[in-house]
Amino acid sequence: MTEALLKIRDLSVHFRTGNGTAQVLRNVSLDLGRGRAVGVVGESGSGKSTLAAALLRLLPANLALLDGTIELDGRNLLDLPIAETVALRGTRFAMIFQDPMTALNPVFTIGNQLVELQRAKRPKASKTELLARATAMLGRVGIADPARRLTQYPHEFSGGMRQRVMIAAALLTDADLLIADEPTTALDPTIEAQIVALMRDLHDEIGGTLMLISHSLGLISELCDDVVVLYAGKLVESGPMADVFRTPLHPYTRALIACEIAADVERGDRLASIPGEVPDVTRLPPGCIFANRCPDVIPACLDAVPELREFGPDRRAACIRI
Amino acid sequence: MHPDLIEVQDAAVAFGRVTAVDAVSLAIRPGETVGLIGESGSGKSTLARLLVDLVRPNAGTVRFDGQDLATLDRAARRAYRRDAQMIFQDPVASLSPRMTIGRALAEPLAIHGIDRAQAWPGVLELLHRVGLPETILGKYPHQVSGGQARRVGIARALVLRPKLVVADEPTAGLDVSVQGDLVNLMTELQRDFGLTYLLVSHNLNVVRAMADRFAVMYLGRLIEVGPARRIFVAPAHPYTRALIAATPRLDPDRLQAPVPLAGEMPNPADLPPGCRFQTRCPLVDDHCRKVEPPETALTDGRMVRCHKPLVD
Amino acid sequence: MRAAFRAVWRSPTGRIGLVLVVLVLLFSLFGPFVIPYEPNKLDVLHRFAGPTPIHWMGTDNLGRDLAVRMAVGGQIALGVALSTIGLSLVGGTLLGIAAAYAPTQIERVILIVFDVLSAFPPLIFALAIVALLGPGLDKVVFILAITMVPHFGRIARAQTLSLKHAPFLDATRVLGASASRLVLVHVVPNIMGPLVVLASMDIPVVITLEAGLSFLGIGVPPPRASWGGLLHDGYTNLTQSPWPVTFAGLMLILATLGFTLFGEALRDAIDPKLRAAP
Repeated sequence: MTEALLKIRDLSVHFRTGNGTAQVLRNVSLDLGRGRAVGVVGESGSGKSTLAAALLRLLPANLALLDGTIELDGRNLLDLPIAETVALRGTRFAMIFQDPMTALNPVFTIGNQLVELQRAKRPKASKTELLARATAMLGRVGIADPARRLTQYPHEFSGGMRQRVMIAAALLTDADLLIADEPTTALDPTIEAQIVALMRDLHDEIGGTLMLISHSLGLISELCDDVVVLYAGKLVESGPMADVFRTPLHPYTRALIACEIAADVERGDRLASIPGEVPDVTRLPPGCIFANRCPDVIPACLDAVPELREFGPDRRAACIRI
Repeated sequence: MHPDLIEVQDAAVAFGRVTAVDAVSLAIRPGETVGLIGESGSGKSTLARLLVDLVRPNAGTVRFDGQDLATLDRAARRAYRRDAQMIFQDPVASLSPRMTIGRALAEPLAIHGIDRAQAWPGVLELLHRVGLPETILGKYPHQVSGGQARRVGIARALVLRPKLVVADEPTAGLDVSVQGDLVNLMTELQRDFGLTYLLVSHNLNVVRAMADRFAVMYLGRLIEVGPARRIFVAPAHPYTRALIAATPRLDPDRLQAPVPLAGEMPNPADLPPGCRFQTRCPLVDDHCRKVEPPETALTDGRMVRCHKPLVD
Repeated sequence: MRAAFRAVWRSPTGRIGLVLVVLVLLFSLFGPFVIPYEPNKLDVLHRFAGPTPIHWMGTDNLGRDLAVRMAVGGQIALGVALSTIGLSLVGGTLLGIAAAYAPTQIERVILIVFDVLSAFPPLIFALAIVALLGPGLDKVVFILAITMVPHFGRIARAQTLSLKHAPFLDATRVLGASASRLVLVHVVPNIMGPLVVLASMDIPVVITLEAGLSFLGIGVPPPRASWGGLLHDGYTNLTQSPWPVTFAGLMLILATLGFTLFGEALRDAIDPKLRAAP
């Protein structure tokens, strides 16, 4: 078993807010296996985007606590000085956001931006060489007439096209880890299908490590090898994607899967949902975070936060009822 | 009472050089739910706005209960508002930022001169019915959650007891774990208030659970209309098939590898002759590129606009 | 709004500004009742007196009590400021909203009107009006209000344009609201924020403009006591007594400083709140 690329241990992130301290992530531990596509499942309030931000040290100013370790090549990234972390972005880590418009500079051509971002790893390369690589990469991600497109500005691209450009940009960095935060949420279904197929083909071909953050179980099932389920800042279940989705252990995972609308649904059928609301992370209840909405809750659930236990190779879940 | 609650005939809406809605005909019967499906640029939002008189057609007619909307005078148009309402995609943005929820719910009463004292108990009952506490009445839109704002939008739309409710992406932005609640609520309200729904969405899963019929739009034209179940199980138009295949579904064993569409959408201001789907259709041939397919009826009563439908 | 005022109180400069404003207001409104002199009563025997227990600020070149004249001047200054700003705010807002909703040709005309009005330097315009119609307090208000209309109008137009396609306006239209209801109940309250801030920051500007016009003799005509007029009289008789100029100048400075600090604190209080509200 090859060693994981990134080992996250007991990561906790708290923010200062007007209502008190928001404990957005609490003791999250996971491994990003080399060459694996790991899906982070989370709904609103799960802390999934904070997890990505913590990896890239892009956390906002009202940070109250940042604890735990993020190990890359034996070094804890959280101990690194900021300058070194910045150097990691664009060389070891690349990120794709939900809205590519915010990541692309509107006043520079795509070609300009794709060339500049390569300079971090290739400071001595000529502009011609970098342009050639960019052209090839645009073609690889399915953009027709890449040489001409390089001369265009971001606003001249459609949403799906911009996301392809973002993927090309991420690939051009030769990063070890690609973090994609809701990369298809803003796209129409047929465009989303194209991007998903592209990402799958590229992952099969290049084999890099992918961390896909999404609320869509379907998307994760189409792209990911492993999955990690976050609920209100806590990691509640993890394991190989097929195992977790076929035989979920944690009541939240089970409930979430039950909410997926079945293929044979009829008009007027009652749809499943999870009753109640995500708890306020500034006022944490005692015990298990899912207790107030869990169909299997017993009094003991409120006594202590359940430990993450092993249930077989790579299978973990935090529930006392399993 | 007219057999169709609302009927659109050959309606066209153009914005400059772009014809957002092009010769669309659609009839909605009382009590049914029609799912208007399409992606960006399909014109579905414009067609929805046509039904609630937010936009006037450049050609064609829109008839409500047999009456042509264009012939209504100002007073009659205002009365029409009591029959056709809309629930908006961004629930917080659809509420006036400086009005409390209570005032927002009273607004329809004030606009139509309905005595507030008499009607308010009914409004409170609606609030209760959509699952919101009375304490929300004093709050401002930015102080409530997206889910709560969505329910306020539904309650507000029902204050005037309309017959037709157009819902624009009713579950957009909602977590999967709570969208079921909203769908169930809308279904119950339809039953209790005798509503007719037009659901505008690109989320086929949700629309499937609610709609009797689908109306699929592409680049301003209706390309397939018919019973929802039939279309979902056996789509006739290649675009419908692609859209259904593109809907992400939980598939741990990866049984279905979706084959996505190739090609790009044409520029809506500069459409090529022939079928509008030609640039992405896997079945396209020369005939498709020259002649725009007319509306044809299939044996099961469906309408499809395609030279080579997948089903007869 | 209440929260904005509380925020102003919290900021140190805002607090100073608010205190100064209140002092000027109290002095101007209640001064003439407290001070036992008539503002226009001549007492040539006791002219150019310095500050004494009888005349707190001394007397001017005609023996009139300065303190009570300052108070009257304050009433004029504030009255002119409020009526001018009130008129131009209402006029500018209506034109601005109209421009935002009007068809392109009409909008162009309104914008040209704005440009023309801004191009007139207030002083030259004032000279022209006074030459045509003679001096007077109402003329001052008219001149200043006209020159300030584009100031509010452009902001009102920009704010309305940004709101024009907001979903809540569509929603209210679908509910059946008439155009006037949409504008009055839904558009105006949502664009008022920046306009109110602008108005409060304009108060010291108008006070200074009025003082300037009166100083030149084309504003409020004598014998009515305006701060500008007092400055003028004190200036021309500077060798006889430094007190009138000093007090008038001090009064003007404190008033404009107070309103400026208050207005800026109000802007800082409202702007971040506007940004914070989604």
